[in-house]
Formats: sequence, C-alpha cells, structure tokens
Amino acid sequence: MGRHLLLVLKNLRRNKRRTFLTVVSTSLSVCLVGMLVAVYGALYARDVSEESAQRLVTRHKVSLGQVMPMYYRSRIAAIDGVRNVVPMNWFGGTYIDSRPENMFARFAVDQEEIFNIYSELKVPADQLEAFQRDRQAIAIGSSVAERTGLKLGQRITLVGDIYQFAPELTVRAIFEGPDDFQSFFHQKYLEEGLRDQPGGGSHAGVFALRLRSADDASRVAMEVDEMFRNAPEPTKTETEAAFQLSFITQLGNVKLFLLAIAAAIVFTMLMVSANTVAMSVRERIREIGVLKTLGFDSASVLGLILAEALLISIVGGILGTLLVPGVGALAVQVMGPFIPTLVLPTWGIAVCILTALAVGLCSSAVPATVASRTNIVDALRHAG
Amino acid sequence: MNASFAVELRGVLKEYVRAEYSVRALDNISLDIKAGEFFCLMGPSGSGKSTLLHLVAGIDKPTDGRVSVLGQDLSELTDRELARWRSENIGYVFQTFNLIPVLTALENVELPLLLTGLRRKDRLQRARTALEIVGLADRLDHRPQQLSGGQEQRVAIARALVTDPSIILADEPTGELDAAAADDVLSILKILNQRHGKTIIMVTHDPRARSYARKSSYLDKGLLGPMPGEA
Repeated sequence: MGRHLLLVLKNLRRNKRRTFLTVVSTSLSVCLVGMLVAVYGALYARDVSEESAQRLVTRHKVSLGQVMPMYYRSRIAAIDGVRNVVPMNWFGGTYIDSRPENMFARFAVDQEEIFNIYSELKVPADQLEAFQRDRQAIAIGSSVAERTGLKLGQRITLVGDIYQFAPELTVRAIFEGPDDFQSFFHQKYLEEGLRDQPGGGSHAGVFALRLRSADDASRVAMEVDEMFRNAPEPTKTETEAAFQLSFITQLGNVKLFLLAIAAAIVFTMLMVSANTVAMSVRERIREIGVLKTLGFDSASVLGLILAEALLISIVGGILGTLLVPGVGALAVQVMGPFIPTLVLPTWGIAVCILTALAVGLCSSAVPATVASRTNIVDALRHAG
Repeated sequence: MNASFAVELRGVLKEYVRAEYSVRALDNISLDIKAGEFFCLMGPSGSGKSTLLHLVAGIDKPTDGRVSVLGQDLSELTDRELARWRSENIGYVFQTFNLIPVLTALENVELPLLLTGLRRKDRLQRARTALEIVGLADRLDHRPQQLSGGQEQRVAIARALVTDPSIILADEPTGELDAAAADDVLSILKILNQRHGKTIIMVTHDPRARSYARKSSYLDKGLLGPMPGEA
C-alpha cells in the first residue's frame, strides 16, 4: 500500500474543500466525544489520592436532604481506626448573584479539624490561625479567589436559601489544593445564626472521617452504620469516591446520558463521512474502471478507497483529540464548580482515535466494496 | 494453439441480456491476429468493435467461445490473475484518454508501474523514457487539463507502453482528435509496431486510420466480414 500512498494523497487533494470540511467535521465530532470521555473520567474514573482513600463520608441512610444529630460525631470518633471526624453542612446560599463566577461550594464546618481531614488542602499557618480564631471567618479556595476576585480581609455576605440566615463573613484564609473550588466557615457561627429557629443548626449533613489507614475503610464503615442501625437517624457510610459517585447518580443515569450523546455524535459523524466517501467514489467510477483496466485488482481498489477514508479519519481524529484540552479548559471556566477539572485520560485518547478510525472504516466499507466489485466495462461506460 | 498468433478467437459469442431484451454484440467470431501485427478492426458505431477489444483485454468475458491471448486461455484465469496478466501483457489506449486528472503526465505514466516491484526511482526513469518516445519529454509535470487532446492521447500511449507489454489495444484512439493530432498518434502506434515489435490492435471507424495498419477486418452487427467494396 506504501507505493499507492501518492495516489491516495493526490485523490484527497482532488476536492480540497470537501476534504478540508470532512476533516473539520471529524475533528469537531471527535473533540465532542473526547469531551464526553473527559466528563466521564472526571465523574467516574478519577484517580483516588492517598488522602481520599483514607476518608469516609457518613450521611443519613435515607437521603442527603436529611441531617444527623451532632452527638454522632463523638460516637464515631470512638471507633478504632478513626483519626478525625468533622461535621459538614452544605449551606448553599447566594453570593451576590447566581452568575457562574459567584457560584462555589460553601460548607459550615469545624474550623479546628477541617484542614486536618483534608490535609491535601494547603493553607499558610498565619491564615489558618486567623481563620480558626475569627468566628465570622471564611476560608476560600484559590480558584474561588481567582474567579470572584475576593481577597484576604474582604467582607462578604451570603444569603441563605436552605437556611434563613445571612452570614456576614471575612475572608481570612485562601487555601490551595486539588479541589479548591469551595469554601468553609464556622459551624458554630451557623448554629448561632439558627439558634432562634425551629430545629436550630446543631446537626450535620455529613460527617467526614479521616482514618489511620485506608485498609480500615470497609471495617470502619460497617461499624459506623451498625452503631446507628436502630437509631432514629440511621447512617450510610462509604468511601469519599463512592460518596461523590452516589451524589452524581442522584442526577439520573448519567452514564446512559453520556453514552446516548456520544452515540448520536458518532452516528452523525458516520453519516457525514459515509456520504463524503460515497460521493467521492461515485465521481470516480470511470477512473476505477481505468485503474482496473491497467491491472489494479479489486483488493487494490478496495485498499485505495479505504486508505483515503482512514487517512481523513485519522487526521480528523488527531486534530479533534488535540482540541480537547483547550475546549476542556474553556468548559471548566464556564462550568466552574460543577466540574473542577476536565482532562482527557490516556485511555480517552485511545477511545478518540479508535472512534475516528472505526468511523472511517465503517463509512467507507460499503462504497469501497461496491467500487472494488464494479464491472470494468460498466465503469468505463459511466458518464459521471 | 499457434504460438505465432498473439490473439486467437474461436466461436466467440457475446450477448448482453437485459430484462426486456437481449443484444448479440458478437456472433460466432473466429479471428487470428499474428504477433507483431498492426491490425485494424473497422466498422460502424455499435458494431461490436469495442466489445471484441474488451474480450481480448480480459476486461469482459464471452458468453460462449474461447479467447486466447499470447497462448493464454483467458477463461482459465481468476479475476485477480487476469488483472495481473493484463498489467504485464496488455497496454490499453482509450478513445477519451482517461488520464487521472489529479496526476501529472509523469505520474499518469508511472501508474501501471505501481503494480510492479520497481523502486520509485526506476519507475520514474521508465515513465520518462516512455514519455520521450511519444515526444512529451518537456511535458512531464503538466496535468491533463494543461495538455491538448493530442498530447493527452500521447500520454495515454506512453502509459500503455511503459510496462513494455506485448500487445497494445487502441479503442478509437483518434476519435477525439483533429486530423493533425490523429496523424501524430497513428504515427506513434506505427513506430511502436515497426521499431518496437508491439502487436497493435486498433478499432476505429476512421477510414484514414486504416492506412497505418498492415491488416484489417470489418465488423458489422457482430459479424466479421471483408471490408466493404473489397469482397
């Protein structure tokens, strides 16, 4: 086939605009598939860090919308293998307005323990001390600071929606880490704010547990849930990764949704590519007759047409794959807190290239086979 | 089977059968063409001339009868073997040139050599030589649309002879050309026959072309016969 490469390349230059548009179409489709793979990777195939592997999350067994009493904390902390426990309450609320740059996660937490549990979040010692000392302090991630423009010492007001409370906070710390599109303020401040309201605020949405060893995870999870099995508020304890995944599944069958979009993209790409190859072959029926008269056999003709389609696909596939990081970065800017990172995993690159190749092969198989089987005399009489 | 014959046709019948009708293009044709002959087959349009040429080239199969070319019974070959045999033994010149428009003259002539084991350097050298023979050494990098009809046909002849085949089949090679260009093309075919020993089989309905051939026959309504007025 190497000696036929010149012919393949020349044929692709026959209609440069069509070849260019097909490559662009393939690139964009592969880029979209790559983005879906990156979203899948971000949701389902994230690497679990050493710190994350040592963490468990305990929530109400029924749903995340139900809370647990604060005394659970001391009971959980007493279990062998548990190093720290911290209550966390999703505050929600609004900062200024609902524009994407002002949306970031806000949790009411135990200010003394939160950075022990999430040790991968790095905060300067003086800022940590200031955060812990000031009841109305808030610690924000560096991504939050970057997007909102918030600085140390700046005062902000959050307007609650879940809670009828509008905490007035001062930025005392800016932390950095892998998941820094979030913020923490004092649980005690929330409790104070809700003191006069029914139910108060002395409860926890979840408890984050830091274990001494990741090997203890399944045992500790079982012990926690067993401990509260007959309590009014039974619990469900799982690894941090499993918790994040269960959070996502509440959105619906995300996997099926991603697969459906990917299938629609690939099908469209297949149709566009098949139409292009078929058109290209139709225009060259007479030339195919000439080639066969010169001595090219059916296999050679088949190979020539398949090679053209595959070359377009592979170039489009590579370009599309190269586009993914840029588009991913752009999407993260827009999506912000919902998907903190969009990186195409190594296996995702293979998925993109193989998808492009499969589309090239499938779209050209029928026209190439028809062309290779064309009767020479009929082809030579072809007027197109 | 006689070794001195390049082409032997025995009782060849070719019928095109369609749903509503059937057409007998060749009717019990028997014909011998000697090796090294310049043979001209004349006849009106639709007489079956091109069909006969297609059978000799092995790009079509007879409904009945035997076609033997260079001692090879073509019915014994598979399609793949036939393609290979054709690339080695047959050069084909079409009425409408049929050059590949995206290739230069040199690349068009190189095309049949892609099927050989030659290196690119040798392929290009042979293609240049073929173009020199037809007087187009100065048009190597021209694409077909940059050439006149006569020049295109000469490139097509170069493409037909570049593999050094024993037989060159020419299907109305002057049909699309003016008188001067037609004379050039016919002269080249005559030189290929006389100096290079190629067997030329040319079908045409151009009476002038006949004067270049050493032997001719007339085909009408699928039947071979003497030239009109020479019976």
